Amino acid sequence: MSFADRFRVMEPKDFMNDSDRKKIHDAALNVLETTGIKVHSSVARESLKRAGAVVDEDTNVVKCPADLVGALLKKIPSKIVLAGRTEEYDLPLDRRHQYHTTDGCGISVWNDETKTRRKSTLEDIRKTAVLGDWMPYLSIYEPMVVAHDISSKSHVLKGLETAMENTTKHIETESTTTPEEARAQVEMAAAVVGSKDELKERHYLSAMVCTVSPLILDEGATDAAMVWAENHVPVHITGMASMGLTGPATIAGSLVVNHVETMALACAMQAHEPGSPLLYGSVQSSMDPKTGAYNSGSPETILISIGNVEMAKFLDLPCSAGGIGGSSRIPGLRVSIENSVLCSPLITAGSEVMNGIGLADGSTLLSYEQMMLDHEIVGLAINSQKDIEVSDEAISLDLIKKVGIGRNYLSEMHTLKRVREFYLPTLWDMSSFESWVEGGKKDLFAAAGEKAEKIISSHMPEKLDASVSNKLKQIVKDF
Amino acid sequence: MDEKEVQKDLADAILSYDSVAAEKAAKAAIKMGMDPLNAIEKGLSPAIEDVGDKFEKMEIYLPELMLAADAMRTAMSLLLPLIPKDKAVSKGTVVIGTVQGDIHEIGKNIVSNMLMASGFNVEDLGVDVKTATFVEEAQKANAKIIGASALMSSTIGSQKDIIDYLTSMKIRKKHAVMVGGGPTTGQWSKEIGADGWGEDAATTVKLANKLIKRK
Repeated sequence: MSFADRFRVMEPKDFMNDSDRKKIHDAALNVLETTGIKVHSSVARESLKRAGAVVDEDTNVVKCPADLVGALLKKIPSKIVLAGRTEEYDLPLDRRHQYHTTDGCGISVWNDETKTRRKSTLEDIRKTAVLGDWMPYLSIYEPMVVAHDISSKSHVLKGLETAMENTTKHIETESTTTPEEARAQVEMAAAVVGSKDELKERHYLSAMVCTVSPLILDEGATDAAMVWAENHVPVHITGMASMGLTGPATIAGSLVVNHVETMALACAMQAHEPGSPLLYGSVQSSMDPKTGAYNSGSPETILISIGNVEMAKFLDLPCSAGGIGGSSRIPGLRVSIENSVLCSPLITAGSEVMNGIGLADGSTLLSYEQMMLDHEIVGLAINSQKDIEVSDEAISLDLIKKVGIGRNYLSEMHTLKRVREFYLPTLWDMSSFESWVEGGKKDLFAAAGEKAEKIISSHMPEKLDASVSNKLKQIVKDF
Repeated sequence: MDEKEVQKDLADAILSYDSVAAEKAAKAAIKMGMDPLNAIEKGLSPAIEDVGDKFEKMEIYLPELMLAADAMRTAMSLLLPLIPKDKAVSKGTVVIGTVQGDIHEIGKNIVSNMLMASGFNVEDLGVDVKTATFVEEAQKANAKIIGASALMSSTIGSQKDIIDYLTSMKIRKKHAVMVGGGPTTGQWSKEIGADGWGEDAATTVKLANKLIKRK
């Protein structure tokens, strides 16, 4: 079984019909053509203008006629492969696999003993990358925190270098805010896969780019998106319109806003570099009605994320909509409850990449314990969405007849072989109450933290070639 | 129509979140020659305080609060120019903006609206505001408070820059600095030496009320 096979899930189920999807799409086309979207990146504006969009240079508002949008969207590859450092960790986006990333980008780290937070550092990126490399159900590593001990100029690059050194899995970069930062990261990814030409074929690095809701593409991140496009680094377009705040208070209305933003950035990328890969993303949510805060653990968040998946299906694009990552201020029970509920419906709907193992408090607080718990939640969720195999061998008619009435299947070769496919938790065992008492009555959260520490100190990720390591160091140093 | 009825209309306009009614009632007050201070203090202010109380008790949500603030502003914009300068009703001036490199404005706008609604004179500098601009504008407006908002972990450093800038100009004590926005925390506010952290709009208004009384 390949690494990717671990993430193979049942065929996606439809939660919206094509007529409703088209209503959302048509409304979004209407907005894009009449209201338009503000594009602060001159590079993106220029590319869109060349393609035929109407650009107001005074206001930076770009309006795209529906036929232009349709023509540009057709250029996007429908299926791609997110590559690992080695082929073993390649992840096909073919509508039949479901992957999870680590969450990003936190700014502090939870200390469960003292119940306090401390500032995150580069060492946290190293440790989470090692832990992520070990995690059997983590597919994609995203540098999880800001390295406060590194200068703000180079912390994104240093974080990426640390990630590349410590995991062989695919890497998604998140906090890029300038085109220069994007170019340097392209150089780094090219150093790992061999060359910039090879990087165009092997998508070892992908990048999250957020729109600003409602209806804005900002300057730095969008300029960076154009660099990603030039180098065929897949972009997870991640709109965040929040119901009631930056989008209408209805799911359909906020889906329209997100669809406009997603199509606008997708069109800008295709106008700039036809055929550049991208994912229909989003981590939309509802606002907390009391404070307006990002409420990532709400039922509305699940529904709107499902809506995003449906719109990705409508455009037949790879999809990275929604994710786990509850909004509780501290890690623990509430985040785990929210994440458990968030996870499964989105896999059933067909989101191919879901964000975010390991952070609490609206993706700002890293907890090693929560990282372990989230990983377990993801493992359980993926394994409960597997195809139900109905082959002759699975039906095992002859075996049923052979065992007959009142006996059992324990000592059958068929059982011996197939029982290996059962999911076994990575975080807890099925031992008795007495052995739990003897083991010191550890609570699950504390046990998760202990296990994380053990893995971090014992797991040895496959090393990068020394010459590649040196190149990475040089690129970061020269930046 | 007597003064009491107009005051009630002003209050009702706020309590029903209705800017059109607020404008109508303010115009009626002006037409009948009512003292604008009376219109504010007996009509508008008790109503907006009532809205604030209901919000505290979670009887109403943020959209009600925003709409009530809009109605308040509409009426105030008609009444305030008629009040002589020496009888100023403002609690004091707050200069507010989103820090350099950050164009997220919604949280800042909510706070800005609620500060206005609760009687502050607010100079909203918009988004992507340079550190020096915060300080220059605060000095120009003689603002006792500077409010700096940031939504991105990559831009919250600019909040510290404002404080460092004030310190380097030796005017740190002239302006209280309150910080807020998604990635900010009380701990962060302490670390950078801010005068307070606004966790959300309601607590920011409370904080401003506290800071404005400071000498």
